[in-house]
Amino acid sequence: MKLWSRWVQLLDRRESAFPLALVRLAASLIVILHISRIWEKGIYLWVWADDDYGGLRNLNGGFLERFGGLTPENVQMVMAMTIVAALAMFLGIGTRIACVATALGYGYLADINGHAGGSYDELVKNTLYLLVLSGCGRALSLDERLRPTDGMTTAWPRWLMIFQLVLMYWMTALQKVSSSWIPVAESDALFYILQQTTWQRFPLPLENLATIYPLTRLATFGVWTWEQSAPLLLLAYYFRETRDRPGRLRTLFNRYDFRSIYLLFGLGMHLGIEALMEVGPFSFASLTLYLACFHPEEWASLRQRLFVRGSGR
Amino acid sequence: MPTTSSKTETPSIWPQLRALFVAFHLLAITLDASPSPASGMNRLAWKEPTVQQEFKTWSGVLGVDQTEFETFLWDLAQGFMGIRKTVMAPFSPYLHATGSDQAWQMFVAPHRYPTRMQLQVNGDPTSADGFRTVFEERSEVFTWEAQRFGSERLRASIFRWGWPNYQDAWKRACKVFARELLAENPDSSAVRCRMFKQRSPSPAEVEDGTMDTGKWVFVLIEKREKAP
Repeated sequence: MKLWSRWVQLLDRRESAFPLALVRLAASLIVILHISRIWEKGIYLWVWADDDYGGLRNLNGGFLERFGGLTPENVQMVMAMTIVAALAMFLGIGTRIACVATALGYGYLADINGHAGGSYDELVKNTLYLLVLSGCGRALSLDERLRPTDGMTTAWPRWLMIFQLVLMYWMTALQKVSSSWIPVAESDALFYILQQTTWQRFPLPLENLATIYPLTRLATFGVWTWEQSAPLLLLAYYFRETRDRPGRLRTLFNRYDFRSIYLLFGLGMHLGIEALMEVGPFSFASLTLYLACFHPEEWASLRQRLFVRGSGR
Repeated sequence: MPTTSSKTETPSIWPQLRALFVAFHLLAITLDASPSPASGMNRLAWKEPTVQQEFKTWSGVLGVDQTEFETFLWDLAQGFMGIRKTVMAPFSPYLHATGSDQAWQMFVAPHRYPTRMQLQVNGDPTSADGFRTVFEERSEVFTWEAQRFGSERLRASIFRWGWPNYQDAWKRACKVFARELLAENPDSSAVRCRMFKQRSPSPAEVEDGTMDTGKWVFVLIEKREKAP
């Protein structure tokens, strides 16, 4: 029971809503830009419209079936509503309702066609749901401007975002069971993945790729090891929380700020993915959760440094 | 302004419920995210050379017969999926309703025999077989609807169409492409959709120029419907 009481007490902890507000801004921007592009290029006509209306697959429109199914006009309507909701979410107008509407809209669209999506859909949906649960509208929002509060909210939604990030990296690593990933053979996964036309951002001449083969092996080993070590990020948070306690490992983790080193590697990996591959908004969706990895006090300190520097000019 | 605080009031029912909910959420997403062969449970896909290559390597590493190893894995995966379905039953409605599904099978293995999609229309007297290429994946020359094909959602579909277990979807897609292409090309009477499958070369093969020549697979011809 003592453990349960501590758990209950822990979840009662409150902090500034600033990091959650940053996640809200980034997530809503991803939704707006992604869906707008799908609309503008007419991609939805092939992937989200039913084959009776020019789509590539016979799709189930769920609730839209009652209103004529997945016609281009109906899909446009859902896209428009999702964009408007995401815009309200970005501005922080009726934030909680806007988050719910965005989550429902994006979730609906992403689930229409299981052949035309990726892990970025899962990640965006997860992030939106956690934002629904959070007090992300208590900072950087019109809601806060019109009805000011103390700007504080419960911390557990931010912790759940960190857990989600760790879970994603770790579980993807555990499923990289190819002999090309696991260092029992050549560690050549990236060398071959970068040859796949489907995911290339631009054609990579094979001769150039072969020249940097040792580098791709090193990167394969680095990415696999880094993803496998994701649970250490949770350990790093625990060590930060209990920094007054003794222990060499704790001291080591805190002295070199393992968390920042881990996230810096992740940032490099995602920038690398963005530079060489086209995998949708996956990297940006992942980096959105990085914003939750820093404590409000760290954000306050950064803002103060920027503000002092800015006003000194 | 303070950035952190902790309430010390006597716990009411709400904090208890919240603690229960967060524990439930953590358990649900962790179980759902746990490694699963769900998307790979297809014997047709297992016959693909990329997958067979993996079986060959792993059976070699473990020193077991490849066919027996494959059968063992299939039985194991089927048993595992049965247990997983039972375990996930209480959590699945929550995960689906909230969009908290966890599917993190990303680049589990490099595709060693990738495909490249190509679309052609007939009616070209200068070509040996009468077909003219209008689209080729990631080509800068054959760019019909390249913007749409270049989007991540279409690329995800194109990737799937290169596997034998997605051939129904490929046939359906080819019909749509044919309808649009024939409308734009009144002189053409047929559209050919096909995939070029080629083993990705190793660094040594790149160096000595001994690359796989590749072959056309999943070739479909869609003809213009005759007017009644």
